[in-house]
Amino acid sequence: MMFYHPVRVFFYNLEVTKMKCYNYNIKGQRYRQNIMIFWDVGKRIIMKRGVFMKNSVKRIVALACAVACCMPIIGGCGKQETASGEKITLKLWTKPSQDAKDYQIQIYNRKMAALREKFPNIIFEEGMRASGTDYRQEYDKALMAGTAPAFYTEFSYTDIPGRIANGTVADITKYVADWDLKKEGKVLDTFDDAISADGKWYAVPLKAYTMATLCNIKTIEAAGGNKEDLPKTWEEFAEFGQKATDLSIPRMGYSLIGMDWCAWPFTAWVWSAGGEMVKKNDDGTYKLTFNEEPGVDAAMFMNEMIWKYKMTQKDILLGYNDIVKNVINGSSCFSFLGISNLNQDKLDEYGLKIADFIDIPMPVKDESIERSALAGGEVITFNPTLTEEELKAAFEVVEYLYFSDERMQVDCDEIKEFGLTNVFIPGRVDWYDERLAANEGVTEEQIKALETMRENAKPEPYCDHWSDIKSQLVSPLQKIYLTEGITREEAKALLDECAEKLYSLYPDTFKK
Amino acid sequence: MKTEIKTEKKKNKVMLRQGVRKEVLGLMLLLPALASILLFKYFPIVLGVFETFFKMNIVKLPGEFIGFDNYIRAFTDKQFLGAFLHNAKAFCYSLCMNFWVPIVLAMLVDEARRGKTIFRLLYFIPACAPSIAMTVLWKFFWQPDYGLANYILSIFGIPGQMWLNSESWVYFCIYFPHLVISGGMNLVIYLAALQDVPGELYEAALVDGVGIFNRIRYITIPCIKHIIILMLTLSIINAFNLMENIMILTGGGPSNSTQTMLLYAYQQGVNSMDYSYAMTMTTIIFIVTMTLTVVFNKVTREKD
Repeated sequence: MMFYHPVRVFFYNLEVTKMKCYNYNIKGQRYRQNIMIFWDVGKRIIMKRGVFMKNSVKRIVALACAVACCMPIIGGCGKQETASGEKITLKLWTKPSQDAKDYQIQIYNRKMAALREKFPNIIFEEGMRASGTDYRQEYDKALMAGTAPAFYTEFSYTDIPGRIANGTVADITKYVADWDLKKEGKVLDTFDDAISADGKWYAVPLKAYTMATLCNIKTIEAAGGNKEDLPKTWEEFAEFGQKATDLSIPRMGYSLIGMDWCAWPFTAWVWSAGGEMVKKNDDGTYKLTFNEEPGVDAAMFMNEMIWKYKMTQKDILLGYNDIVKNVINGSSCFSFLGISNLNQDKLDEYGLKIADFIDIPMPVKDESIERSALAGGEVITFNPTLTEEELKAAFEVVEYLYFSDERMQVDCDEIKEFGLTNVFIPGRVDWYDERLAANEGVTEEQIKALETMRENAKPEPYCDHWSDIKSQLVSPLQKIYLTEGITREEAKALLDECAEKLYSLYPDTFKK
Repeated sequence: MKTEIKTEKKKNKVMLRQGVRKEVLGLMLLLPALASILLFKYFPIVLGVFETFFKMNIVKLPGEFIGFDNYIRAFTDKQFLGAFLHNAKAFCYSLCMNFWVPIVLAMLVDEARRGKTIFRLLYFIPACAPSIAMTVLWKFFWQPDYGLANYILSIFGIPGQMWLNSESWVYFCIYFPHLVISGGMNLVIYLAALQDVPGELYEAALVDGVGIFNRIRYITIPCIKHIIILMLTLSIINAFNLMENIMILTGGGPSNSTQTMLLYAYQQGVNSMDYSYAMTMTTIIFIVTMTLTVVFNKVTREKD
């Protein structure tokens, strides 16, 4: 008798699961049919006690089959059906992380309440990306598993050409083409070339920011500098950096981003030497130009900052977060960052305010070169597996959340209410000034500086395989930076070798 | 008589039935675990290997069939072959720096008449700390500008080194912390093995006037050989699956000098979205590790 109990309990559970699945109105009719067949077979085998007792193999087979059939059903219970005309379910990854501050949770709850009120026909399945994981990897994993959110807000615009090519973002031309706000010029158009291809649209802008040289005013003043007279050329930059560096404090003139980030600021340094990373050929392919004279100049200047001027750390294995920390904690006067990279919670740890920092464009090799800044930004992409109905609903939600006057006003109010700093350029570009003005901690001087940065900002080259260029550049750049006394010829040879490798790896994208 | 035989037969039948029942019950209890392992461990591996023959399309799996193209690409990819050499180099370093130290320490601790527990505890405590946190701490230790390592050198008037930023020092800097991070655990394993060595053998050797080195050579090492082989096998596996530490300490730098096969595969998958190529590389890593382990075990068994 003992033996029957777990089996009966199992089938009872199966029945309950089956009922639950029906209640959840799950997809997959064939699984239901299969389970019914095995349910009947299993039941007969079990109930015919004599037969069952004689042949235990049958029991195992029946049980194994039932388990095998049950798994997809149980797995399927998490999925949502988008019945036509009925409520639509959209999965969101907007939930704040577990270590979120109270104000973040409050803002989120308000946002969700507003969404539910605005879209009573949509069920919002709230979720978040696991913290500490790579955003691209997590999204792709979720996409493969069928659990990706309806829209995603973390991709940089430079990721989009690659994603268009591999089909991991939905075509939203239908909605963008007839978008009144866009026609009226109210939507940020900085990334338009990157998020569209062949007349089709694949993303909408979320926010933009500028990065060049972030200055910690207190540290600069402590080093004998002053915010009215910040360096404009490489010569002035090196002179001040050298003077400011004192390892015993410790204080450095400049913090160099290393690890696999090092090709990112290199782009802006190449611009500041009067060059470009890539140039578009007439046939749509790209010529790699980072190995031309301005590129070599930029790489050599980095090397000199370490070895000749000794104004930066020798450790080229510092990542982005280390650098942000260095600027915030005052151990570095300048770094390749932007004021938008700072958040008040981190500044509070050091008793600093956003007003203690200012952005300046990149110092240039000589004054004839225009000082530039790098425009970064994130865009909103849509899940390519959504049905037409779901995609429409998702776009409406995005339009409301990130582009409606109502939400823009709420954003401004919340910035004021919680004393937040948000100097990003929003997707609704016409709200930029108003939102900037809502930042009470941001001074007039900083607003002017941000304006200058915006005027000088250039987007990163967003050609296909742009990430691969950056990955391939890490090795030669690290070699150049770390070799004391490297000659220009040697530096050029390393950059040439890297360019050759890229030409051979991606012949369809890069041509000389 | 007949009744007795019948009763005996009946008894046997009942016993047999009970035995079968027990076996079936055992099998059934194993079934959930077995199903989970098959479903969550082996099924993804098989699926991963299957994907290596495709140009993976995340949205429409498995994607376009490309046969052995990914394998051909991997075997002609200089960076991947370079990464293989880095793994081999890592194994050599682990062998030279980490492998023998716990054995020697375990022997010394085993010889100690007093304070054996304290030694064991002191060496084992760091092994309890989270290895990731320890690795991050060591990164600060090796920092060339204001790290503790250069400070210690400066006390003795020795010029500072670039440590993790130097291609010649980097492997030393990666493996030195392992003496602390994983050394304690290894020491405890060796110590447990040493305590299983029969004391009579040492007593007999002492009576025969055998010296300490010969005692180690002819008694200790042969007696703990099985553990040494096991640990060496694990070292091979670890060296060819090296990634987390490298990712934290160097990110594969400087100048790709520590880019291991797994790290390269990860970068290809995540940065370049080339998932099927990344899976091809991990499949090759699996085959390489498996082959090395099998060959090594076969060689050592034959010698036995």
